[in-house]
Amino acid sequence: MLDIVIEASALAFHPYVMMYVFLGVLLGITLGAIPGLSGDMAIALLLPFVFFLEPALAMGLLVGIYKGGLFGGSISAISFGVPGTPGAAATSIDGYQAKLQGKPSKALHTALYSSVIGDTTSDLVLIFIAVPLAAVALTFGPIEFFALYAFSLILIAALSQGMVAKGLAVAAIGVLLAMIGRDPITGASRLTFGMPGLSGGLSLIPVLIGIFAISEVVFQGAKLWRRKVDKLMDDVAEQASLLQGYDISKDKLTWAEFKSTLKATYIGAAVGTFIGALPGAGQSLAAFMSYGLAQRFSRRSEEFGKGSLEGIASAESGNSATCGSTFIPLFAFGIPGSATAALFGAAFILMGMTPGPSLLTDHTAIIYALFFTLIFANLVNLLLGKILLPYYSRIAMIQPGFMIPAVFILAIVGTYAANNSVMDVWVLLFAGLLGVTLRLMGFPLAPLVLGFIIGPGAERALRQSMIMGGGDWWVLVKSPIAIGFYIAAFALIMLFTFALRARK
Amino acid sequence: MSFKMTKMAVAVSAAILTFSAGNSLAAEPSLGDDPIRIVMPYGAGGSTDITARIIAANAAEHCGSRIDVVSMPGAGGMEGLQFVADANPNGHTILMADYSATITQTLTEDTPWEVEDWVPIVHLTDWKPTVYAKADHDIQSIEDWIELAEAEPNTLVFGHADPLSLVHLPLVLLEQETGIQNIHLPTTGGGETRTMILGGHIDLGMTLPPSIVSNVNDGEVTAIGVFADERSDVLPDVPTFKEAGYDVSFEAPLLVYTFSSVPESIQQQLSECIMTGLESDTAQAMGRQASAGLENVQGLESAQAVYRDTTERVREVLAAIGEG
Amino acid sequence: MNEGREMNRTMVKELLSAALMLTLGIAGLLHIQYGAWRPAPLVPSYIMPQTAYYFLLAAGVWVLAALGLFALKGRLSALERSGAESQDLVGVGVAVALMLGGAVVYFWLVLNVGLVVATVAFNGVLVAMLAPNATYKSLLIVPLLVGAAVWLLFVRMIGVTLPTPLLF
Repeated sequence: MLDIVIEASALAFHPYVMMYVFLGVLLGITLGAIPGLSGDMAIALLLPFVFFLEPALAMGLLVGIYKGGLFGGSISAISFGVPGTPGAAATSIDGYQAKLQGKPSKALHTALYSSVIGDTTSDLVLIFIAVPLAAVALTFGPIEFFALYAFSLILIAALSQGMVAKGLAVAAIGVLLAMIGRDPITGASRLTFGMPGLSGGLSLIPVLIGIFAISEVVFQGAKLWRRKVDKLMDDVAEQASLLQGYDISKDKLTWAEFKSTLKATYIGAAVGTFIGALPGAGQSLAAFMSYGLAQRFSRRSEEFGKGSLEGIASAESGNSATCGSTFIPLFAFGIPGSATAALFGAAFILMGMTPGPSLLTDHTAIIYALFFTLIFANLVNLLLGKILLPYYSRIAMIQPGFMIPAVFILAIVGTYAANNSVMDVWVLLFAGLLGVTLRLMGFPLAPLVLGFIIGPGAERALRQSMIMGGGDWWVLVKSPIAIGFYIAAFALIMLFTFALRARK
Repeated sequence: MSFKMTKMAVAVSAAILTFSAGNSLAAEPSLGDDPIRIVMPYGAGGSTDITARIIAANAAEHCGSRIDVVSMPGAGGMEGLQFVADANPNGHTILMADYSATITQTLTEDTPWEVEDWVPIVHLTDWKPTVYAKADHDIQSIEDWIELAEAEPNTLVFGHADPLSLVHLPLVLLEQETGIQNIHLPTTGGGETRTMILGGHIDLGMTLPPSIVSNVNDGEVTAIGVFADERSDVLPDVPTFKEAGYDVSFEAPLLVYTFSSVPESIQQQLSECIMTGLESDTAQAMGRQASAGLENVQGLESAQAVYRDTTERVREVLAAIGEG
Repeated sequence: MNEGREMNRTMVKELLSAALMLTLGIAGLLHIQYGAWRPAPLVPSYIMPQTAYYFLLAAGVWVLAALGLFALKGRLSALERSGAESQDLVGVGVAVALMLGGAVVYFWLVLNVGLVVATVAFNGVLVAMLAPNATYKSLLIVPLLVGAAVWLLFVRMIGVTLPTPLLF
């Protein structure tokens, strides 16, 4: 055992490998910060080089990009209200509000710390209890997944405090948008309005970036235009938040503030790690779920949505905590549970290592080296984040008149480049228009995106369960895990109803 | 173990550092010096992607220009095919796909092209759909399966990927041949099928051999039969359905295509340079490393023959179940 | 006076939302009734859309009922959420036309003329229309910078796949 650890650390802490981790994190943060682009895309672009690299080098580079990308998405989410990656959408809710209050540095640092804590938790879980957790993940069949999605839907309703009706309505619209395309069971086209381009359905990136980012950019554009025609120069409050007036030394995250976000961070770490280990659930779901739970369990839940640091911490930690655990199904069974895991799986194959149960026994040293690299990359992420954040905080304060057009254009080209899809650009703009309309009418946007993410999974799980159960609806409660989820959902509703009453 | 940095690794890292990796590979023109794009209508990271990258790495010097691999999964892969069909017909935009994109989809959907519009130029490998079950399941052989399915029709749950995909059509064919009936359960793909098998949620599944080799060797699942003329190289102990006495074989050829508007001389030229590239020692070594099955790559004629056969077979199956 | 207008606006907003929900729900249910849906085993293909339409209808009725209840009690102002800023409808309209409409033209130009040229032009238009303190100097420099950044990032680094451009 000891000689393996020595061998693995010799691999992982070789200067070249460490250099590649640095390079990867830097690249990941940069790409993640651009709306539409993510670490996944950079990994896909670099796959061909994996052939020619020593496995330890390749792993260092890819892990660095992945982790940098997970955190990078929150930079633009906080700075411009424009999530750089789907996982950062929940971060933008509170992060952008905090920036508007002149606290970009606090928000960014909260995001960085919670991201690193969530990520490290998840890596440790991968390293030490991957096997038992993988066994738990396997017990999730269609019936259990349907229960999980139903549970998440109840959390959605909880997310939109005070406007439950509108929240449910937009969640329904999100589900409907996700139904466009092919029926997962029969393969027939449905709800495509006769357009062949829609037969593959709407992809997540354009819908999510469109709903959150494009609508935000348009609203900011509207404010800018109004100021321009009214010949108003920047008013006092605005002036203060501009680069020259912004004093970064007054915008430091204090120890007390950091401590107050820890509970939310831990909730995010636990939820993210668990959701990440389930094949197919994904980062955005993890982020929104931990946001919803953290809000419910927070002492100051009324601040959520208004620039709460806890809100940022829970979302960002939930998002990043999928990082290590998404590899659990890959290592345990060779099953890629997410797009990122699939790309890493391809990289393993290109290096002559077949993902699956034999990976650890056949390539012990390199896998242990990968474990070390996963942890080390978190430290690099923290260090680079610390060095770069002051600059990012300042960029966030650059005059919006110049920043907004550039962000808008980057979002369009980035969305195209992510899938080389022209259709995605039209979907992006349409989703932006929808987002603007819904905002004008006072609808919350988060439930829509959650409906969009959960809808297809819930439908597939429901219909698969029914096929397996021969059309008997009782099949849905024939699993202890599923019953557990339904009871938990019921208990949460009760708890919140009474807890809320008691508080008033 | 000492850590060695190969020259190649140094070169590659330098290339990544300067962010100009692609451009440094350009060579003198012959097919034209624009890059060649291999479009694959799937997401990055799958087995097609890996094979495409082996081509890109080895055929570039023989084809005279750099080769890029482009993933276009939009609209169920239709956007990728559309992009190739619309491209300037100079042979610089080619398609790499199995038959579900070019044949099944074209026959069942309303597409702006016909099956014959896709001209296969290289036949890379044949994928062999394989049926498998959990290692502690009652079914451990083709005979067990048929017996159980005949005794209790419509009770065994069979997971396959998309309906009418290349891991579904063989099941349809076998059911026609033997008269057995199973419950067909569509999944999102090989990963979800495997999760359900390992978790004991379903009885049987179908996939391609390389993806379950590791689980088979580890004794977690049993591969029970292969829908092919010959056994799979990576699972040599698993019998074919033919050996078990059922005349059902449905291999899925992986082909490189041009659109029919590309001049024949260019098709020929492309076919030859890709073949030459794949026959090189480096390409073969990469292929073995990635279990891509590139030992027997065939040129234009074989590719077109196998494409015609496959089209015929898909047509028959679709007609029998009233699709297309 | 001002308060009254605000309240009217909230009323209109809520009524419009309810109308949107009900219309979508009813249209959807009609589509399920009369549209072409391929028969699926055991559970119909429209199970999820149908559920979604029911939720839309229920939510629409709920919003209407809440409005009615508050109107009866004469405390419509309770509907107004604190912190809800009033929207500059004209501004939003202009921004939608300029940015979203412009983006359609922009991407058409990207596909048919060229990424860099289109980017410089579109960015120039946006800066000219939106930046409150844009000077001629910044109008010359900023779009070129953005064009260069897009070229560096997407053409040079990522090698984005686009049809062969007419210009650059």
